[in-house]
Formats: sequence, C-alpha cells, structure tokens
Amino acid sequence: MIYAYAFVAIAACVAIERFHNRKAKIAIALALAAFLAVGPRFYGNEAVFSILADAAVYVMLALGLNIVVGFAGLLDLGYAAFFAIGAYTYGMLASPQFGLHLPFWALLFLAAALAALFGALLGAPTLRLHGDYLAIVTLGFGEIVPQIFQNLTKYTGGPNGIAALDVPTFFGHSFGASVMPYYYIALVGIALALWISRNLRESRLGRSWMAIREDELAAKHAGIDVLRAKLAAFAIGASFSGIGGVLFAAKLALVSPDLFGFQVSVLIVSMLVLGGMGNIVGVVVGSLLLTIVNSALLPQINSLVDASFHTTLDLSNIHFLIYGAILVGIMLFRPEGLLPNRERRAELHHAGEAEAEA
Amino acid sequence: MSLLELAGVSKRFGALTAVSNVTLDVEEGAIFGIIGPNGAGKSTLFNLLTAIYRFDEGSISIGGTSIAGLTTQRIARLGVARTFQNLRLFGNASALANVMVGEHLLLHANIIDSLLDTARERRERAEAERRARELLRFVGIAGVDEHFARNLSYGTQRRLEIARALAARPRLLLLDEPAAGLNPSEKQDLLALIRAIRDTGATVLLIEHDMGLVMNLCERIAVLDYGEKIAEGTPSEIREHPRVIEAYLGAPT
Repeated sequence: MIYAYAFVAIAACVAIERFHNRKAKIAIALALAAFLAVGPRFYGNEAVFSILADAAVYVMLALGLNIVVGFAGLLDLGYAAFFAIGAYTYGMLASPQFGLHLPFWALLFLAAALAALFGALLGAPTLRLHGDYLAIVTLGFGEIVPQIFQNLTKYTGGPNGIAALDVPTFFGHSFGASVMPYYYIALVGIALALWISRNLRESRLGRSWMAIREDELAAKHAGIDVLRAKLAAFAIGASFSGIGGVLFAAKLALVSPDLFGFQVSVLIVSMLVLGGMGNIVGVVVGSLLLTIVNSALLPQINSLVDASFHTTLDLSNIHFLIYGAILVGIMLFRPEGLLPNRERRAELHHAGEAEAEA
Repeated sequence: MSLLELAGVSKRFGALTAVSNVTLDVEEGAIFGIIGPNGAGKSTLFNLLTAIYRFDEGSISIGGTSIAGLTTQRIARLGVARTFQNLRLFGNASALANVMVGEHLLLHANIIDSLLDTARERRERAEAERRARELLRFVGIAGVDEHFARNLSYGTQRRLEIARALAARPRLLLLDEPAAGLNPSEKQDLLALIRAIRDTGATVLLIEHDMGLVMNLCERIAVLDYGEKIAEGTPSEIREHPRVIEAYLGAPT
C-alpha cells in the first residue's frame, strides 16, 4: 500500500521533471497534491500514513539542506543539529518538563525562528571555510548539539530525553492518537518548502548563491556580500528542519538525543546525492526513496526472510551497509543523481571529460 | 579629473616586491593600458585595486574615495568591475544568469522579496533579464543566452565575462588581458567593443600583451618592469622610450 503512494508520488515527480510545458507541470503537481490529500479517505491505514508522514518530514529536511548544499554549495554535515533544535523546542516547551504547554502551532513558528537563529550562529564561524574544512567543522557542530542536549540533564532529561509531549490540538480538537493530522501538516509543509525553494532559486539571493557556489571570488567582484548570503543560506535551510523537528517530536511524543546523531545528517546528505543535488524535484524523489527503503522495505524484507527461513535476522543492523551500497552504485552509474538539474549534469560530465583529456 | 589615483603603492610578498612605489593617474573616460614583461606586477596591481591583496604602502583612491581597508565587495560598490586573466565565469550556469549576477548591485530585492517572490522581485528579475539580453547583444554574443558558460567557445567566454562586468554599469572597468587567446579577427572585434564601452562613459584600464592592440586602442600607457613603473606616456612616446625597449629586448651591449 505504501508503495502505491510512494510510486505515484515519484512517478509524478519524474513526469514533472520530464515535461517542459509549464502548464503540464502545474497540472501534474496539482493532481498529485489532490491524490495525496484525498487518497487516505479510500485507501491505506494508520501504519502507512505514519511512514508517509515521516517520509514527508524527511522531504522537508532534505529541501532545507538542499538550500545550503545544493544552492549555496556549502557542504553541511551537521544538519541534524537543527532538526534536534526544532524537536527539543517542542519537547521542552510543550511537555510536563517545565510545565509549559505552549501551543503546537506557535511552536512551529518559534522552532523555525530558533533553528534559523542557530543556523546563522553556527554558520558564522564557518564563513571563511571552504570545502573539506567547512564539512569537518559542520560535522563537529552536528556532534556538539546532541551532546549538549544529552548532558544538560536538568533541562533536557539527559540521555532519556523528554517523554509524554503534549498532543497538539486544532481549534480545540485534539489530534488524539491518529497520525493523519501530521501527514496533512507535513504535506502542507512540503508544499510551502517547495514554493520557497523555487522562489529562492529564481531570486536575486538565489543567483548570489549560485555565484558563490561557482566562483566565490568572482561573486565578491560583482558586489555580492558573500558572508551575508551564506548566513542567509544557513538560516533558511535550518528553519525548514526546525519545523520538521517539531512535527517529528509531536508525532513521536518523545525527544531523545540519539534520534539526531550523525547518521541522520548523513542520511539527509545521501538523499540529496541520490536524488540530484540542487534539483528541487530530484531532492524530493531521493528523500522519498530512502525513507521508504528505510521504514517500509527493509522491515518487510526482514520479516519475509525470518518467516521463510525461521531466522531472527535484524536487517536494521546493516542499514548503513545498504545505504552505502546504494550510494556507491549511484556514484558509479549516475553520479549526478537520479534527477539532476542541468548544472550538476554539466559539471559531472565535464569533470569526466576533463579527466579523460588529462 | 582623475578617476583612479595611485600614489607610491607597493606590495611585497616576503622578500619579493611585486609592485614597487607605483604612482599612476587615470583620467575619467580614458582607455589606459598597462604593459610589461611577464611577472612585471601587472596582475598584482589589478589585484590591489580590487582588494584581493592589500597594498603595503602608498594610497589608492577611486573617484576620490580611498580604498585602503575596503573589501572587494565595497570596492565593487564604488563602481569598479573587472575581468580576469584566467576567466572566472560561473561555468555551470547560463550565460544569461552570469550577466544577471553582474547586475547584483543594481537590484534591491531583499531576502523577504526573494523568499516570497514578491512583486518587486519579479519586476526586478524581468528588468535584469531584459538588460542582460541587451548586454549579450552589445558584446556581440546574442543567442547564447541559455547556454552554459562552460560550453561556450573561448572567445565567447571572454566576451561573456566582459558583459558580466558591464552589467554592474561600472565607472571603472578593469580588463586583464582581454585579447589573450583570441584570433586576429576576434581581436579586431574586441578593439571595437572596448571603444564602444568607453563611449558609454566608462573608464577602461587594461592589461595587455598584444602590442598592436594596445598601441591602437590606448590613449595612455604605463609600463611596468620588476614591479616598477619605468615609463608612462602616449603610444608613440612609449614606442620610442629607451627603458621600454630595454625591458622588452634587453640592454644593448
């Protein structure tokens, strides 16, 4: 069942990418949105939409990271830190932890703002770094933030995290135990994230990011304030994952530091690489695919194997082996990702030609 | 009136003095050439003008404003644009996008406009795009708008880089070896283009190795050798200047 939804979504994305007619693209996008919105009335159950809601949160995260890595060219390996900040915003301010029970909707905005603030704060020391150096420093930040949450036991519950988070309400109606509200909110979140991503790509700021990504020195000579543009990328990218974090925490009704480790950052970078860095639709496809593999396909294979051979395998132990294999395969056969944008394709194909010439 | 004034400018890299006590005045509206053998400090001088390097001594002012301590992007705001000896285009972006980046300082859309695609953002983008197409036509490469910069021929890339620099509507345009790698007919076109640029009101300062081009084009020429200015004058003065002949051909024995 979940594959039906995932397949339709991915097929629609590919179609949007392949069509050149603007009206056709919009029509497909609207049809997909209608399908995803109305589909649950007829088909599917809570388990399916629980996975799809998680997938949607990951799509938002990937779209946020795409702004930093894909648009501005800043390799950020600690992106999960902002996801954690979003989740803990909800965890600390809407739970018995401090007896604060701020409304879910307000916290969506607050978390976006906080994550953006920390995005800028953590981005600031890295502004003069490039490439490998930048990646290492952001990796460090990605490690530090969960560590802080783990060790500020008094405020964050330490390694156990915070449980029994508030169940959100919508005009007085509690979400209850259903996952459907999260699914719908995440869909709206994706729609917003897509709209903002597209706006940014075509904008003055988006062109500044392109210039910085392609040639920072030349960008400076055009009068671009490189430091400010980079901070904007970090802040906007982080804000997406702040919202994702609130959704994630509220749905799980729990936050704990081990949910936001390095593997989450790597997973999101993998989604970008798999889908096609810089290309908005490609990023959506990449993140959908990896989440579905992760939360649906692997557990099913797992139980299938166990049932047929009477074993008690745990494939989740070799998740990273499988990710690794997928990534190596992609890099070998389609280095630009499944649905690359023109830029990446040109870049990687030229890199190949240049090597061949040399 | 002088647009660009250098007084006693020096730049050292360790023990090497790349630019030594150079004084230079470039009149507004001029086409001014800087020549000299390889390693004479010409490109270093350009890099001082756009703050890629900081000068150690002396002063530089552009349009009456001292550029000491200013960053590259602040200097761009003074109306300085440049091209590079080894092209620095945004390779994985369309020619049009390259030129539109050049227009950065003419636009006012802020981050909110960019996020929400406001009316101002859309209006400015349409304007910028129209101007960029015009500029591509002006430098003689209309029709490559949607091509990626890196896929263009070398001569076209050179022109594209000039178009990107012009997009900022600079008062002072720095061209670092614009004719390098061009064939004779392309050089003729370049000559006409640089004259046309000056006629729009910009002041052009260029580094060039092609003597024919420099002598034809420039009203004044300064000659650098081992970081020092050894001569300055009109093309005919430079052609006759004994120290220039010595620098290029070696001292008579």
